[in-house]
Amino acid sequence: MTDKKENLKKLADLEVALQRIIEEVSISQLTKYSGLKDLDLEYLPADHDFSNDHWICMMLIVCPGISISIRCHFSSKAARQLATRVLGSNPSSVELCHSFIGEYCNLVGGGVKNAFASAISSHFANVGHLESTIPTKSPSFDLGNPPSNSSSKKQIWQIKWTGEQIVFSSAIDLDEKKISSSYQGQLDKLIEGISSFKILDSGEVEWF
Amino acid sequence: MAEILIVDDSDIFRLQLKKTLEEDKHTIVEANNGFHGLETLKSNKNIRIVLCDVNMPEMDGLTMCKKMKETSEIGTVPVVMLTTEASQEMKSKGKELGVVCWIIKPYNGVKLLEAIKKILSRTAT
Repeated sequence: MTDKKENLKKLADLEVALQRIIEEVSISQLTKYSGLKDLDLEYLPADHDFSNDHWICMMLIVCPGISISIRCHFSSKAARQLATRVLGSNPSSVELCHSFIGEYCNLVGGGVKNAFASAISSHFANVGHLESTIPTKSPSFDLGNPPSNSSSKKQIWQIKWTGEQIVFSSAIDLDEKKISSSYQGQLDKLIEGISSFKILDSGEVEWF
Repeated sequence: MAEILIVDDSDIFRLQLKKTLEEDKHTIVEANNGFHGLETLKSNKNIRIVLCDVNMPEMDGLTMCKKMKETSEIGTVPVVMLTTEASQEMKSKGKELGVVCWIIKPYNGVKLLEAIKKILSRTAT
Protein backbone atom coordinates (compact mmCIF):
# COMPACT_ATOMS: atom_id res chain seq x y z
CA MET A 1 0.00 0.00 0.00
CA THR A 2 1.34 3.46 -0.80
CA ASP A 3 2.03 5.89 2.05
CA LYS A 4 -0.86 8.08 0.96
CA LYS A 5 -3.34 5.18 0.92
CA GLU A 6 -2.03 3.87 4.22
CA ASN A 7 -2.42 7.27 5.80
CA LEU A 8 -5.99 7.62 4.56
CA LYS A 9 -6.80 4.20 5.99
CA LYS A 10 -5.38 5.25 9.37
CA LEU A 11 -7.44 8.43 9.35
CA ALA A 12 -10.54 6.37 8.59
CA ASP A 13 -9.64 4.02 11.48
CA LEU A 14 -9.23 7.02 13.76
CA GLU A 15 -12.69 8.29 12.79
CA VAL A 16 -14.19 4.88 13.55
CA ALA A 17 -12.45 4.73 16.96
CA LEU A 18 -13.65 8.24 17.82
CA GLN A 19 -17.20 7.53 16.70
CA ARG A 20 -17.29 4.35 18.79
CA ILE A 21 -16.17 6.25 21.91
CA ILE A 22 -18.76 9.01 21.42
CA GLU A 23 -21.58 6.46 21.04
CA GLU A 24 -20.39 4.37 23.97
CA VAL A 25 -20.08 7.41 26.23
CA SER A 26 -23.51 8.74 25.17
CA ILE A 27 -25.10 5.50 26.38
CA SER A 28 -23.03 4.88 29.50
CA GLN A 29 -23.36 8.43 30.85
CA LEU A 30 -27.13 8.42 30.38
CA THR A 31 -27.32 5.14 32.27
CA LYS A 32 -25.07 6.41 35.08
CA TYR A 33 -26.68 9.82 35.40
CA SER A 34 -30.36 8.95 35.04
CA GLY A 35 -30.29 5.35 36.26
CA LEU A 36 -32.14 4.24 33.10
CA LYS A 37 -31.29 0.74 32.03
CA ASP A 38 -31.90 -1.22 28.82
CA LEU A 39 -31.33 1.74 26.54
CA ASP A 40 -31.61 1.04 22.81
CA LEU A 41 -29.32 2.65 20.26
CA GLU A 42 -30.65 2.95 16.75
CA TYR A 43 -28.77 4.59 13.87
CA LEU A 44 -30.70 7.12 11.84
CA PRO A 45 -30.08 8.04 8.18
CA ALA A 46 -27.79 11.00 7.45
CA ASP A 47 -30.73 12.92 5.96
CA HIS A 48 -32.86 12.39 9.07
CA ASP A 49 -35.66 14.93 9.29
CA PHE A 50 -35.17 17.14 12.33
CA SER A 51 -38.01 19.48 11.45
CA ASN A 52 -39.93 18.90 14.65
CA ASP A 53 -40.27 21.18 17.60
CA HIS A 54 -37.24 20.31 19.65
CA TRP A 55 -34.19 21.68 21.38
CA ILE A 56 -30.50 21.20 20.75
CA CYS A 57 -27.63 21.13 23.18
CA MET A 58 -24.24 21.55 21.50
CA MET A 59 -20.66 21.08 22.55
CA LEU A 60 -17.31 21.20 20.74
CA ILE A 61 -14.20 19.24 21.67
CA VAL A 62 -10.92 20.17 20.03
CA CYS A 63 -7.43 18.75 20.18
CA PRO A 64 -4.61 19.25 17.68
CA GLY A 65 -5.86 18.29 14.21
CA ILE A 66 -9.17 16.89 15.50
CA SER A 67 -12.45 18.67 16.02
CA ILE A 68 -15.59 16.95 17.27
CA SER A 69 -19.01 18.52 17.43
CA ILE A 70 -21.66 16.72 19.46
CA ARG A 71 -25.34 17.62 19.57
CA CYS A 72 -28.15 16.24 21.62
CA HIS A 73 -31.59 16.82 20.09
CA PHE A 74 -34.36 16.57 22.63
CA SER A 75 -37.94 17.45 23.43
CA SER A 76 -38.93 19.15 26.68
CA LYS A 77 -41.01 16.05 27.48
CA ALA A 78 -38.00 13.73 27.30
CA ALA A 79 -35.90 16.22 29.29
CA ARG A 80 -38.59 16.42 31.99
CA GLN A 81 -38.78 12.65 32.27
CA LEU A 82 -35.00 12.40 32.74
CA ALA A 83 -34.77 15.35 35.14
CA THR A 84 -37.58 13.87 37.25
CA ARG A 85 -35.61 10.64 37.59
CA VAL A 86 -32.52 12.52 38.80
CA LEU A 87 -34.31 14.84 41.23
CA GLY A 88 -36.87 12.34 42.47
CA SER A 89 -39.65 14.88 41.88
CA ASN A 90 -41.14 16.88 39.01
CA PRO A 91 -38.82 19.85 38.24
CA SER A 92 -40.30 23.27 38.98
CA SER A 93 -39.43 24.76 35.59
CA VAL A 94 -38.79 23.74 31.99
CA GLU A 95 -35.35 25.39 32.25
CA LEU A 96 -34.43 22.93 34.98
CA CYS A 97 -35.49 20.06 32.69
CA HIS A 98 -33.32 21.43 29.90
CA SER A 99 -30.49 21.82 32.39
CA PHE A 100 -30.46 18.03 32.69
CA ILE A 101 -29.56 17.74 29.00
CA GLY A 102 -26.84 20.39 29.41
CA GLU A 103 -25.25 18.43 32.23
CA TYR A 104 -25.65 15.17 30.32
CA CYS A 105 -23.84 16.66 27.29
CA ASN A 106 -21.16 17.89 29.66
CA LEU A 107 -20.72 14.31 30.90
CA VAL A 108 -20.55 12.97 27.33
CA GLY A 109 -18.08 15.66 26.22
CA GLY A 110 -16.01 15.05 29.35
CA GLY A 111 -15.90 11.32 28.61
CA VAL A 112 -14.69 11.92 25.04
CA LYS A 113 -12.12 14.43 26.27
CA ASN A 114 -10.85 11.94 28.84
CA ALA A 115 -10.39 9.31 26.09
CA PHE A 116 -8.15 11.78 24.25
CA ALA A 117 -6.30 12.75 27.40
CA SER A 118 -5.64 9.11 28.23
CA ALA A 119 -4.44 8.23 24.71
CA ILE A 120 -2.23 11.30 24.47
CA SER A 121 -0.65 11.04 27.91
CA SER A 122 0.29 7.39 27.31
CA HIS A 123 2.09 7.93 24.03
CA PHE A 124 2.81 11.58 23.29
CA ALA A 125 4.55 14.46 24.98
CA ASN A 126 3.64 18.10 24.38
CA VAL A 127 0.95 17.44 21.78
CA GLY A 128 -0.96 20.55 22.75
CA HIS A 129 -4.07 21.48 24.60
CA LEU A 130 -7.38 19.68 24.71
CA GLU A 131 -10.21 22.14 24.76
CA SER A 132 -13.95 21.98 25.00
CA THR A 133 -16.80 24.44 25.06
CA ILE A 134 -19.41 24.66 27.76
CA PRO A 135 -22.63 23.05 26.45
CA THR A 136 -25.12 25.53 25.03
CA LYS A 137 -28.81 24.95 24.54
CA SER A 138 -30.98 26.54 21.89
CA PRO A 139 -34.42 26.00 20.39
CA SER A 140 -34.48 24.49 16.94
CA PHE A 141 -37.02 23.62 14.29
CA ASP A 142 -35.04 22.71 11.24
CA LEU A 143 -31.41 23.49 12.08
CA GLY A 144 -30.69 20.08 13.47
CA ASN A 145 -27.98 18.73 11.22
CA PRO A 146 -24.41 19.03 12.47
CA PRO A 147 -22.51 21.96 10.92
CA SER A 148 -19.32 20.70 9.36
CA ASN A 149 -17.28 20.36 6.21
CA SER A 150 -18.47 18.06 3.51
CA SER A 151 -15.59 15.74 4.37
CA SER A 152 -16.68 15.40 8.02
CA LYS A 153 -17.67 12.01 9.32
CA LYS A 154 -21.26 12.44 10.50
CA GLN A 155 -23.38 10.05 12.46
CA ILE A 156 -26.87 10.30 13.90
CA TRP A 157 -28.30 7.91 16.43
CA GLN A 158 -31.28 7.67 18.67
CA ILE A 159 -31.24 6.53 22.28
CA LYS A 160 -34.58 5.06 23.26
CA TRP A 161 -36.14 3.95 26.49
CA THR A 162 -39.73 3.14 27.38
CA GLY A 163 -41.93 5.83 25.92
CA GLU A 164 -39.27 8.43 25.08
CA GLN A 165 -36.05 9.07 23.20
CA ILE A 166 -33.32 11.59 22.49
CA VAL A 167 -31.28 11.91 19.32
CA PHE A 168 -27.54 12.41 19.21
CA SER A 169 -25.50 13.60 16.26
CA SER A 170 -21.79 14.04 15.86
CA ALA A 171 -19.43 15.41 13.26
CA ILE A 172 -15.73 14.58 13.30
CA ASP A 173 -13.30 16.74 11.33
CA LEU A 174 -9.71 15.62 10.86
CA ASP A 175 -6.91 17.85 9.57
CA GLU A 176 -4.47 15.47 7.92
CA LYS A 177 -1.49 17.85 7.98
CA LYS A 178 -1.94 18.91 11.59
CA ILE A 179 -2.46 15.33 12.71
CA SER A 180 0.67 14.21 10.93
CA SER A 181 2.81 16.89 12.59
CA SER A 182 1.19 16.77 16.04
CA TYR A 183 1.36 13.01 16.53
CA GLN A 184 4.79 12.60 14.99
CA GLY A 185 3.52 10.19 12.34
CA GLN A 186 2.43 7.73 15.03
CA LEU A 187 -1.26 7.68 14.35
CA ASP A 188 -1.40 3.95 15.21
CA LYS A 189 -0.64 4.76 18.83
CA LEU A 190 -3.35 7.41 19.01
CA ILE A 191 -5.89 4.99 17.48
CA GLU A 192 -4.79 2.23 19.86
CA GLY A 193 -5.03 4.57 22.86
CA ILE A 194 -8.54 5.74 21.94
CA SER A 195 -9.75 2.24 21.01
CA SER A 196 -8.54 0.73 24.28
CA PHE A 197 -9.94 3.52 26.47
CA LYS A 198 -12.24 2.24 29.19
CA ILE A 199 -14.86 4.65 30.44
CA LEU A 200 -13.79 5.84 33.87
CA ASP A 201 -15.53 4.86 37.07
CA SER A 202 -17.29 7.95 38.25
CA GLY A 203 -17.88 8.86 41.87
CA GLU A 204 -14.58 7.52 43.21
CA VAL A 205 -12.78 9.91 45.56
CA GLU A 206 -9.13 10.53 44.73
CA TRP A 207 -7.35 12.09 47.72
CA PHE A 208 -4.34 14.39 47.25
CA MET B 1 -23.04 19.41 60.20
CA ALA B 2 -21.64 22.23 58.13
CA GLU B 3 -22.26 25.06 55.73
CA ILE B 4 -21.11 23.96 52.27
CA LEU B 5 -20.67 26.05 49.12
CA ILE B 6 -21.54 24.42 45.77
CA VAL B 7 -19.96 26.15 42.76
CA ASP B 8 -21.30 24.79 39.46
CA ASP B 9 -22.91 26.37 36.40
CA SER B 10 -25.49 23.59 36.01
CA ASP B 11 -28.78 24.40 37.76
CA ILE B 12 -29.90 20.79 37.93
CA PHE B 13 -26.56 19.57 39.21
CA ARG B 14 -26.58 22.14 42.04
CA LEU B 15 -30.13 21.17 42.96
CA GLN B 16 -29.35 17.46 42.89
CA LEU B 17 -26.23 17.93 45.01
CA LYS B 18 -28.08 20.23 47.41
CA LYS B 19 -30.71 17.52 47.99
CA THR B 20 -28.02 14.92 48.68
CA LEU B 21 -26.21 17.17 51.16
CA GLU B 22 -29.35 18.42 52.90
CA GLU B 23 -30.35 14.81 53.60
CA ASP B 24 -27.18 14.71 55.69
CA LYS B 25 -28.28 17.91 57.48
CA HIS B 26 -25.75 20.24 55.83
CA THR B 27 -26.64 23.82 55.00
CA ILE B 28 -26.05 24.77 51.36
CA VAL B 29 -24.94 27.98 49.70
CA GLU B 30 -24.78 28.13 45.90
CA ALA B 31 -22.78 29.94 43.23
CA ASN B 32 -22.95 29.43 39.46
CA ASN B 33 -19.35 30.31 38.57
CA GLY B 34 -15.95 30.85 40.18
CA PHE B 35 -16.31 34.60 40.39
CA HIS B 36 -19.61 34.35 42.25
CA GLY B 37 -18.07 31.57 44.38
CA LEU B 38 -15.24 33.85 45.50
CA GLU B 39 -17.61 36.67 46.38
CA THR B 40 -19.78 34.26 48.37
CA LEU B 41 -16.78 32.90 50.27
CA LYS B 42 -15.57 36.39 51.16
CA SER B 43 -18.97 37.39 52.49
CA ASN B 44 -19.75 34.19 54.39
CA LYS B 45 -17.17 33.11 56.96
CA ASN B 46 -19.22 30.08 58.02
CA ILE B 47 -18.49 28.06 54.86
CA ARG B 48 -16.46 24.97 55.85
CA ILE B 49 -16.10 23.18 52.48
CA VAL B 50 -16.32 24.14 48.80
CA LEU B 51 -17.54 21.64 46.18
CA CYS B 52 -16.46 23.03 42.85
CA ASP B 53 -16.70 22.25 39.12
CA VAL B 54 -13.77 22.97 36.78
CA ASN B 55 -15.31 24.25 33.53
CA MET B 56 -17.56 27.22 34.15
CA PRO B 57 -18.20 30.56 32.44
CA GLU B 58 -16.81 33.83 33.92
CA MET B 59 -14.24 32.06 36.10
CA ASP B 60 -13.30 28.36 36.07
CA GLY B 61 -12.85 26.30 39.21
CA LEU B 62 -9.05 26.11 39.17
CA THR B 63 -8.74 29.88 38.76
CA MET B 64 -11.10 30.24 41.70
CA CYS B 65 -8.80 27.97 43.79
CA LYS B 66 -5.80 30.10 42.79
CA LYS B 67 -7.59 33.29 43.83
CA MET B 68 -8.66 31.66 47.10
CA LYS B 69 -5.04 30.73 47.84
CA GLU B 70 -4.00 34.34 47.25
CA THR B 71 -6.61 35.61 49.70
CA SER B 72 -5.61 34.83 53.28
CA GLU B 73 -9.09 34.97 54.84
CA ILE B 74 -10.49 32.24 52.55
CA GLY B 75 -7.32 30.39 51.52
CA THR B 76 -7.68 27.61 54.07
CA VAL B 77 -11.24 26.50 53.19
CA PRO B 78 -10.93 22.92 51.78
CA VAL B 79 -11.93 22.50 48.13
CA VAL B 80 -13.28 19.30 46.58
CA MET B 81 -13.32 19.27 42.77
CA LEU B 82 -16.43 17.62 41.34
CA THR B 83 -16.00 17.53 37.58
CA THR B 84 -15.97 15.55 34.33
CA GLU B 85 -12.27 16.42 33.90
CA ALA B 86 -10.02 13.48 34.63
CA SER B 87 -6.67 14.33 33.02
CA GLN B 88 -3.52 14.08 35.11
CA GLU B 89 -2.59 17.58 33.96
CA MET B 90 -5.74 19.05 35.51
CA LYS B 91 -5.42 17.00 38.68
CA SER B 92 -1.80 18.09 39.11
CA LYS B 93 -2.85 21.72 38.79
CA GLY B 94 -5.55 21.13 41.39
CA LYS B 95 -3.11 19.45 43.75
CA GLU B 96 -0.68 22.38 43.43
CA LEU B 97 -3.51 24.76 44.28
CA GLY B 98 -4.38 22.86 47.45
CA VAL B 99 -7.46 20.92 46.28
CA VAL B 100 -8.02 18.16 48.86
CA CYS B 101 -9.70 15.58 46.63
CA TRP B 102 -11.00 15.01 43.11
CA ILE B 103 -14.29 13.32 42.20
CA ILE B 104 -15.39 12.50 38.66
CA LYS B 105 -19.04 13.22 37.83
CA PRO B 106 -21.61 11.78 38.17
CA TYR B 107 -20.99 11.50 41.90
CA ASN B 108 -21.88 8.66 44.24
CA GLY B 109 -23.88 10.07 47.17
CA VAL B 110 -22.53 7.67 49.80
CA LYS B 111 -18.89 8.19 48.83
CA LEU B 112 -19.30 11.94 48.61
CA LEU B 113 -20.88 12.19 52.07
CA GLU B 114 -18.11 10.00 53.51
CA ALA B 115 -15.48 12.29 51.98
CA ILE B 116 -17.20 15.36 53.45
CA LYS B 117 -17.32 13.72 56.87
CA LYS B 118 -13.61 12.96 56.64
CA ILE B 119 -12.73 16.54 55.66
CA LEU B 120 -14.87 17.98 58.44
CA SER B 121 -13.24 15.72 61.04
CA ARG B 122 -9.80 16.87 59.87
CA THR B 123 -10.69 20.53 60.10
CA ALA B 124 -12.75 20.36 63.32
CA THR B 125 -11.75 23.11 65.73
